[in-house]
Amino acid sequence: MDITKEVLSILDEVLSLNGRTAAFTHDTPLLGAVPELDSMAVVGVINLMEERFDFFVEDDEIDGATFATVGTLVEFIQGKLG
Amino acid sequence: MSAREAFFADAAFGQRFCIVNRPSGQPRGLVLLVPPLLEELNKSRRMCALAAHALADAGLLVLRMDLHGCGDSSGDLADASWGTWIDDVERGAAWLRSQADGPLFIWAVRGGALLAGDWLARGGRCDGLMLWHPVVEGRRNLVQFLRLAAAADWQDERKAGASASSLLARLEQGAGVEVAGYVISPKLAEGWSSSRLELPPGFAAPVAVMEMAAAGDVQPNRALGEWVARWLGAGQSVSHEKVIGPFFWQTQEIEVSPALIDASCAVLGRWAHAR
Repeated sequence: MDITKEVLSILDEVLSLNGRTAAFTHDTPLLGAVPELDSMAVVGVINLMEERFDFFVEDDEIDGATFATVGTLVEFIQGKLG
Repeated sequence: MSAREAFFADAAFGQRFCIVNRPSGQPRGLVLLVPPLLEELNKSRRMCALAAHALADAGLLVLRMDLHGCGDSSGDLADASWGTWIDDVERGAAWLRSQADGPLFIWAVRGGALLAGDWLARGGRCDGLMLWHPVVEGRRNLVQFLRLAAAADWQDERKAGASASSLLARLEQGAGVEVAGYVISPKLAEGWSSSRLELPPGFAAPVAVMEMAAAGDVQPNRALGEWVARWLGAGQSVSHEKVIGPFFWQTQEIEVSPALIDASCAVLGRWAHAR
């Protein structure tokens, strides 16, 4: 499974970016930089990650820093999938 | 051609706002929407409206009832409980049966599947159960909703805010909580959290699970797959269809999936024809 590809697919879908994520790299900043990523969208991304990767996210595992860049989000998922 | 009308139905604790889509001739069947919950309903309204219209064009009488305290009906959400919502499902079914003869199909969306299942467990009867990407475990769905409060705080200068688990604990201690403008009472949370999607013993009607999936090589939904396998193993008539399209109850913009509407018309048309 290509986690980065799945993450970009989730971001594109929840944020309705219409393919804009094709230009995203691991260093692309997310929270505070992508205007579509508001609180509702953050929840949407977490919820869809849970569904797509079939894990459960606890409160204390995740915060704003998890959503700093595409890379931090991918690292978080890699950690969950262990 | 079909026609749409809106009215208020009398109910316990005031009135319920109802929208009905009527087919032009004698209905081939009756369809009751059991809506998704709270913010997911907000995001799903357009999909539900388009689907109701299409189903009525296909000859079905479709009722969408706003549940107690959900905005257009009487009452505040803080006064709503899981039990009054289950009563509302029964109220909707009874209204449809008062309008015309014919098979009654339940069309439940996301968390509405939990309500529909609990309604069946209390003796509700239907001739088919169509589930749009159903929630199979209430607690998880509630936690996902409560996360809205935590995420709002992350944006707000990273202050340490309410976590979903602390809100859940407050609800379990009997206090209400407010999340994204929704005031949730302990009695609503209790029913929601403890609900699991089950079919009653001897349930003979067909079940159709419609799963939304992203295009391309993506992970299938394990929870839904296992749920379907369990009930097939129990001898239940369950179909499982994957539809490529947006997770419209979760997306930032209001999205629609014409493919899901087409698939739903096909399922309910087939069931109505078989009766």
